[in-house]
Amino acid sequence: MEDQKLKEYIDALVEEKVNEKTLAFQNQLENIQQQLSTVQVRENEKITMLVTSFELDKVIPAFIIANGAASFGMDVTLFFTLWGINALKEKSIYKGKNIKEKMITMMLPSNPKSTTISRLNMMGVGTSMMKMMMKENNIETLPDLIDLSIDMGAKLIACQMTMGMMGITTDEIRKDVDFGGVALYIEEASESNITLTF
Amino acid sequence: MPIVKIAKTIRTIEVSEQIEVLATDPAFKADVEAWIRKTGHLLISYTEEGRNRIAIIEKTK
Repeated sequence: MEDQKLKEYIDALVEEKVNEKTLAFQNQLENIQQQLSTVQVRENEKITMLVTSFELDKVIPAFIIANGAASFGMDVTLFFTLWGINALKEKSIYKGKNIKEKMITMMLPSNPKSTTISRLNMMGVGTSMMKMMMKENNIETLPDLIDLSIDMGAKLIACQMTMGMMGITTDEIRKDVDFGGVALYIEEASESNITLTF
Repeated sequence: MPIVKIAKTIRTIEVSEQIEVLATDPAFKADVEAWIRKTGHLLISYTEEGRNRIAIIEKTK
């Protein structure tokens, strides 16, 4: 009888100890599982582009690559600065601007349709020919490529510093565009697998 | 851009359904093969008839 009691006592003691020990392991295991699940849902591959030019031969490749990358399921961010911002304009506004801003507004393109090639433009003849050849080869126009990139989930960011300098207002820029500065670009670029400049 | 059209269409179909793509892009074969490798969908068949390139792709996930 004594033996039986002793046995029960020892069993209970052992079980308690085992539970105590395994609890630590269990917690550890749960921790690891949690970490694993966060690793598995890690962010997508990402591409960031810096677009400073508005020439057809720079800005078209930028959007072709943007759309291609989006088709591969990548997160795509395009940061537009200096002349690149022209690709995001939908109209020119003169109201409320000072004389210098009005002058630069007059000289800048008012929408992406007016992009020209950087070489052999020949007063627009070269550009027209190039655009004709693109059409014959079923290559989308710049405005179509821009719309497509938005549709594919690309994030377009206009540089606020350039806009401030040139007096470009947010009303002149298309609605689906974000605004930001160098910090936003660096943040996006630092998380990217690919960065390109156009 | 055929690859963009494929990517857009594949989102709208169910897993194990197939799409047929007709393209004239000279780089289509290389593009579609790279896309398949990267996204893990299945290239069921690829044929060329003159300028036309036809690919059949199955959605796997």
